[in-house]
Amino acid sequence: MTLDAPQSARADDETHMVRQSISAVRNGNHHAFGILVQIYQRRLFGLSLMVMKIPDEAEEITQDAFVRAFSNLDKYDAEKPFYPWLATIAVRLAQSRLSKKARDQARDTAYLQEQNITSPDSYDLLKGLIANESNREVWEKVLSLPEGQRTAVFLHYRNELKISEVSAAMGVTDGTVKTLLFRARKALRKQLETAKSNPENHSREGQNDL
Amino acid sequence: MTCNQILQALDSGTLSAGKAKVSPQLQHHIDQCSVCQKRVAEAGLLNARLEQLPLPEAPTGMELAIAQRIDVLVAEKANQKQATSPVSSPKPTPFVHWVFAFVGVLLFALTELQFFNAGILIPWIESSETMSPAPGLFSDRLIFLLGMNGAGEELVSYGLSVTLCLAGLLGLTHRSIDPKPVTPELPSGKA
Repeated sequence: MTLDAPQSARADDETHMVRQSISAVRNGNHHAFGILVQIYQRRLFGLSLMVMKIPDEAEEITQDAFVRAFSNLDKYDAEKPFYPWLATIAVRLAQSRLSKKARDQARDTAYLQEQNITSPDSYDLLKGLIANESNREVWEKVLSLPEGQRTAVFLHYRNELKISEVSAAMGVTDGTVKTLLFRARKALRKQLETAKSNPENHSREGQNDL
Repeated sequence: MTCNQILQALDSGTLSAGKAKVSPQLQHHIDQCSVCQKRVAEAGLLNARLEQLPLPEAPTGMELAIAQRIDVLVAEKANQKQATSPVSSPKPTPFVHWVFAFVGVLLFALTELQFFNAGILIPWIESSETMSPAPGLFSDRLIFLLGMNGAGEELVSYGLSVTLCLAGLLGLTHRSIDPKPVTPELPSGKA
């Protein structure tokens, strides 16, 4: 996870731009928040999608997270990086949405079984969002992990958050995050081994074994 | 050192292909075991792919929807501020109302003192008894003009003091009858 020189320069530019935008918003120019949305919308939408699995819900969470971040910008410590703070808002919103969904689902399961309705395949839903098939397969593998594991993997690997930042975002201890990552790596490694031993059964994995 | 321990180290993240620090014991085993070499390489590949996990395109119109929601939020805040400003910075109360209230209370106290015959206001009591105009007080002049005495005097004094008190109090609380500011219509919240 080390950055090369151009990447580092880009990160510095981004940090500078983010600080300027936050300062402008705090001084009353609320349109400057649009710059933050432009910078982080893909990252935050990706995170929300990883947690929620359904694009519509992920979009809703992303919007809510940005709006909540705007409302609470005075509580943000400008000395710290902005993205972990924003990601924390999104993860907490997604977690509460998921627990509400779980409650509703428990109530509706009987009805769905009666009507023979199944939830849409997340792989099919991803088709419209990630054009490249090999990229979609990586997503699919991570999406198959339990919620805590895939959130931790996305935040730690893709969003390059430290263990302490991931634990703060998820509202758990550092030890829990390490355990989640340990289990996720183990599960992904097993998926990889299974895909290698049965290539016919994993047509989707094909040439993109992890 | 066994292959299982290497596997454990890979899963716990303490060992991966890109890591600079590998203990000599681990390194020695990896150098000797081709299976573990392969596993380390695969773990490195997995880490790299997770780090470069592609991000999906953000839905079209999401940026605009967020901007609209923020605009609504800002407008609501501005309206709230406008609506609450009269309470947070009340208009200064006109001095005359304080004077009314003060004079009313004073007059009431004087009347009470007279009623209990405290003896402090003897000149005034005497003047009212003799029906001669007292030089100072408005109520005395009024009592004299109306030609009243006894219960009538007290009635006028009470009446005056109550009227002045009411005038003062109404003046002091006049802001409570201020009309509320009109809230302009806002565009619908969620896009």
